[in-house]
Amino acid sequence: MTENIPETYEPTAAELKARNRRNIAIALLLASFMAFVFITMITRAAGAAG
Amino acid sequence: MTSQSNALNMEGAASETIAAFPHPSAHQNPSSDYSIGTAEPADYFALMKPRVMSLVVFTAWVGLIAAPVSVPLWTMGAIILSIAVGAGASGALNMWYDADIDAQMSRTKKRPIPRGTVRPETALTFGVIMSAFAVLALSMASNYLAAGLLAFTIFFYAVIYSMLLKRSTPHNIVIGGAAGAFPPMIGWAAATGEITIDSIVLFMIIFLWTPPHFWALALYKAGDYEKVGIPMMPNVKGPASTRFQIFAYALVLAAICVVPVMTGLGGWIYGIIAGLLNLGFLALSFRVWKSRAGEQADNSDEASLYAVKAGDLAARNLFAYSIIYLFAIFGALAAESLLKGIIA
Repeated sequence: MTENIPETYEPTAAELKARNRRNIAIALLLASFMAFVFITMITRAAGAAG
Repeated sequence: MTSQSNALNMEGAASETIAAFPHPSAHQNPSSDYSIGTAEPADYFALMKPRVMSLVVFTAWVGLIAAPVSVPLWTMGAIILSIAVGAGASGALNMWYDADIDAQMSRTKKRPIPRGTVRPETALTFGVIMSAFAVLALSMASNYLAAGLLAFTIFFYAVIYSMLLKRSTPHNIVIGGAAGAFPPMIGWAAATGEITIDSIVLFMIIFLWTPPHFWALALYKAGDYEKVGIPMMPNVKGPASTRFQIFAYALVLAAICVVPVMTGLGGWIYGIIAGLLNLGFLALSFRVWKSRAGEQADNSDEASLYAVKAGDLAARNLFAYSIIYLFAIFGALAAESLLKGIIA
């Protein structure tokens, strides 16, 4: 069984390109979520103070 | 996979379906167990059922706008975004669970999992993570009641509807329709922190709208559902019974649409628009009842929601009208609330 499993897998150009786009999307989403949490907290704190 | 064993005559069909459905990675290349995949961000967006999400976003926004408490613009955006992501997450979970049947239905076979671009387990992970983000974000942007309602809605759609009801009862979309009816109630709860008669009425409008909407589609797509063993009303009770039930639901829907005028949620603008819209809905439902929609065998492999044979025209017209109806009736409520805000 094990001899059929390749030791390394070389991603194709299309796979690498897709992975790159996914990574960028994840980075943007996480940055957006951080901004979301920050602004929401500030807005709620300002609302509670005002 | 408990639902498959509970389904009406589904066991054999389900096992055949699963056997016939190759793992999505099989479409890629022989060494695809090691593949990092070619899924693009757009494929993940497609997992979130953007068309359904647009309806959820709109009705949730109306719930927020119609509530008697004004919400700051940023908070409103944050609430809507959270609900949209939650709705999308439940769509991804639904696509994960229904991958076997989606692969065989003309309407759904081009979804990311049947197409082989996204693996089922990836869709499951994506759905779970996005659900958690959505509920967390809504709890921060509004309150725990709204976040709890969103969590329950995701659970209801993914587990109660997709896993337990869809493959086991022709009343699947009657009960499961509750999942689509919650968003305005969540919007209302996010603004006010409570559930009131008005928010229940908003829920009821969508809840009662869902059966005629989906059964109108099922009448001319019955072959598609039958092929994969989904017990939709036309397949189980027959087209005549379904057509009558569509009209009966349209009557009850028209009655519930009067309630907002009585509670003060809707004024004369809503009253006039809702009256006209319901007259149209009743007329089209009546035509469906008296038509022979669903009588012809549906052997087409047509992916379009609107392509239809001549005999099924009444059902197609009601399906198309029902989408405009829901947007318009909620739009009337929103317009009235916005006008009240401007005048006040």
